[in-house]
Amino acid sequence: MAQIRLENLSKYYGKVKAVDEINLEIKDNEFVVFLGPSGCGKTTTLRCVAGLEAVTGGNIYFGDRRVNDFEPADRNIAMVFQHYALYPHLKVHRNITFPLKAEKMPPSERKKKVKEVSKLLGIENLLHRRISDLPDGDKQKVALARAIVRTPEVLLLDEPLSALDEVFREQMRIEFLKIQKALQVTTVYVTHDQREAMMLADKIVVMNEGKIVETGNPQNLYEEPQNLFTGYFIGSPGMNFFNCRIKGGRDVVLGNGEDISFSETYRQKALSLSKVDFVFGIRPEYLFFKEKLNGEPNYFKIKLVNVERIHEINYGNFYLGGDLYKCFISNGEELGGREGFAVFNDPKILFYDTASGKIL
Amino acid sequence: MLQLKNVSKSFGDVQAVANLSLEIQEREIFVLLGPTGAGKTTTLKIAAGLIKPDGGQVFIVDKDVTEIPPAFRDISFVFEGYNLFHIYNVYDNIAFALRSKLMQVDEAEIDTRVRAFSKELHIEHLLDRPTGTLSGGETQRVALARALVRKASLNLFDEPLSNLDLKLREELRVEFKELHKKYHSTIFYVTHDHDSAVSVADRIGIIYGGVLHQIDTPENLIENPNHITVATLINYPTINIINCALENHSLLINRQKSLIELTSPQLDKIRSQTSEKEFQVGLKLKSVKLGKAKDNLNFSGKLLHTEYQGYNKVVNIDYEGMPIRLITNEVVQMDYGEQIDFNFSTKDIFLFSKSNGMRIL
Repeated sequence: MAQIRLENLSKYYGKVKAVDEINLEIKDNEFVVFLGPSGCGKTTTLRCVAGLEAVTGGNIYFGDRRVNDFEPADRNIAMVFQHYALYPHLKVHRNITFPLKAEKMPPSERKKKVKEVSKLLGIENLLHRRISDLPDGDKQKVALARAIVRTPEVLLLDEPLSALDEVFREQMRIEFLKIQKALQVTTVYVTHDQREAMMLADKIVVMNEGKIVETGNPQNLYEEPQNLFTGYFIGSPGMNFFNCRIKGGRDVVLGNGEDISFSETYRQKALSLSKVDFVFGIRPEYLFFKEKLNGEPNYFKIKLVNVERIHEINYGNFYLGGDLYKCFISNGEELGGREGFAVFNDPKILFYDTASGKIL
Repeated sequence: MLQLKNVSKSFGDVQAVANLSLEIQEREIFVLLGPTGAGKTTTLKIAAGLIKPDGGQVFIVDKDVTEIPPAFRDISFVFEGYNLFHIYNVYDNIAFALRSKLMQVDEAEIDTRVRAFSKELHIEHLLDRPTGTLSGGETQRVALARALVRKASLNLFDEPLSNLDLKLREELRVEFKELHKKYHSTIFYVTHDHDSAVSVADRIGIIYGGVLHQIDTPENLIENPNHITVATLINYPTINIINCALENHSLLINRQKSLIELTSPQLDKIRSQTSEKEFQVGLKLKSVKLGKAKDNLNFSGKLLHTEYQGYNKVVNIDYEGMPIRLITNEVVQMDYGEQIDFNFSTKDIFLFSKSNGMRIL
C-alpha cells in the first residue's frame, strides 16, 4: 500500500523557487504523470519524493509515515532515469539481480525473481547478453526490470523514454502500461511529452514555473482545461484561443475587431462574465469549416491557408491577427486559399480570463 | 534536380549509407525519414559535398558534382543547431552568403531580399538584434531566412524544426509550406519527426540502417508499404506487429492458436515468394474495429488501457499476451481487465517476412 501525499512542498535553489508550495495526493496503484516544459519543477518534485533532494519546506507522506527524513534506500522506492545507469560490461541477468544481492536474498530466490520480471518484460532470451551489445530500447527494458525486481511500493520514472526514437518509445510505453497494471505499483512518471502523458496516465499533474497548474484525468484536461496553459500544452494540435471583446456593452467581437456571431445563449453567457476582454477557447475538432452558412448561429469569417493531415485527420489552417489556428475539415479536399466560415456549436463553450488564464 | 546514384559511405566498420539512389524533382519537398543513426544526415552531407562518398555519384541539375566542393554546388544548407554567427546581428547573418566573394550581390539587392524574407518569416523586428539573444523559435526562423535568401537551386535542411517545442513546430511547418508554394524552391529535408515529415513532404523516403527502403507520397507509403520498417515508421500511432507461424492454411500465434485462416490465392501468393514459415503480420490501428462483425475475424481480449488523444482514442488490448491496439472516436467505458471484443478483415493485413522484413502480402 502506498499513497503519497505532498503537503506545501517547496524546494528552493537560492532565490529560484524550483518547487513552490505544491499540494498533491496520489492514490494507491495510481499512475500519475507530471507534465510540463523544462524547468517547470517536475523532476525536482520527483527527486524530493525519492529523497534525492532535501526539501526546503513542507511534508512528504507515504501512507501515514512522514518520510522527509528517510534516506532514499529506506523509502522502498525504485527509480528509472533517462540514462539507464546499467553496468555495461555485465550481462543482463547480473544487472537485474544486483539490487537483490544487495538485499542478501538467497540465490535460488533471486533466480526465480529475475525469471519472473524478465518474462513480464519479454527479455528472457536476452539474459545472457552483455548490456553494451543491446539496442537502446532493450537497455531501458533491463533498467525497468532491475527497478521492479525488488517489488518496490513506489516506482519513480524520470523521462525514461526521451533518449529513445519515437517508434521504440511507443513500444516501450505499451510495456510500461502492461507492467504497471500487472504489478499494481504506485507510479510517478515525469515527462515533457504530452502524448506520453495522455497515453499512460490515470492522472496528469500539469506543472509550470514550480506550481501545479491543474490536475485531472486525460479526458477532462483535454475537453475542459481549467487553464489556458493546459489547453495550450495538451493536445496535438493544441487548443485554439481567440481574444474577444465586448463592444458597446452588447456585442462580441474578435480581438482584431472582426465580427464573431454568437447565438443568444452564448452571447448572454459572454455578457454575464462582466468582462470587457476574455478568451474563447475551442478545440480544432469542434470548429468546422463551411464555405456557405446554413442558418448556423455561431461563426466567424476565415480564409484557409492550407489543409494539413495530422494522424489521418484533416485540419484547415487559418490566421487571425497574425496567429495560426486550426479547424476541422470533414473531407480531404484541397481548400487552401478558400474563404468561408469557422462554425462551432459546442454546448460547453469555454471562456477564460485574459489576465490570469483561468476558466471563467 | 538532385540525383544520388548508388552512393555508399562507411565509417570504419559501420556502413552509414548502402548503395543508395534517389532523385528529387524540381520544386519538390523531399523528406528522408528515419530514426537516429539511420544514415539521413550522412546522405544529406553527401548531397552537399561535405562528405565524399566511397562509391556512387551525385548530380545536381544533370551535372556530375561528385568531385565539386560544396561552395560551387549552388546549394544552401540549414544544420541542426543552426550555426549562426553570434558576433553578427540578425541582418548580417541573413546577408552573409550574399556578400561572399562567390556571390557578391550588390547591397541594394541584398537589402530587398533580406527584408522580404524577414517579413515572410516574421522576424523583421529582430534584424538589429544579436543572434545570441534570440529564442529557439526566432533562431530557427533566422536560420531558415539565411538559407532561403540565397535562392539556391537546392535547399538542404537537417532537422530544421526538431529543437522547437510542439506548438512552434506546428506553426513553422505551415509557414514552411507557404514559403515553398511562393518561391518554388527545391527542398531536401531530413528528419526523424514523423509528423513534420508527413506534413511538409511531397514525397518521403524511408531510411533505416543505411538502406533506403521505399520512396512515395505519404498516403501511398501508408497504404502500400514494401517493408516492415516502412509500415512501422510511416504510421502514427505505429502499426500492430504480430509474430506468426504458417501451418497449412493458418497463421498461428504462440505456435498454437490460429489467428488468420488464409484464402487459397493468399496462400499461393506466399508460396510463390518464399518457403519460410515465420512471418510478421502488420495490422493498422484503424483496420481493427471494436465489437463483433459477421464477415470479419472476431476475437476477445482484455482491456489494458484507453488512451485519450482527443478526437481519437487508442484502445490497448491484451490478446493472448500480445498487445493489440485500435483507434476509434467512440468513448470506451470499460475498466482494466474487462473482456473486450474486436475484429478485423483478412484482406486488411500486411504480411512481412520474419527474416528480411520484405512484404509478402
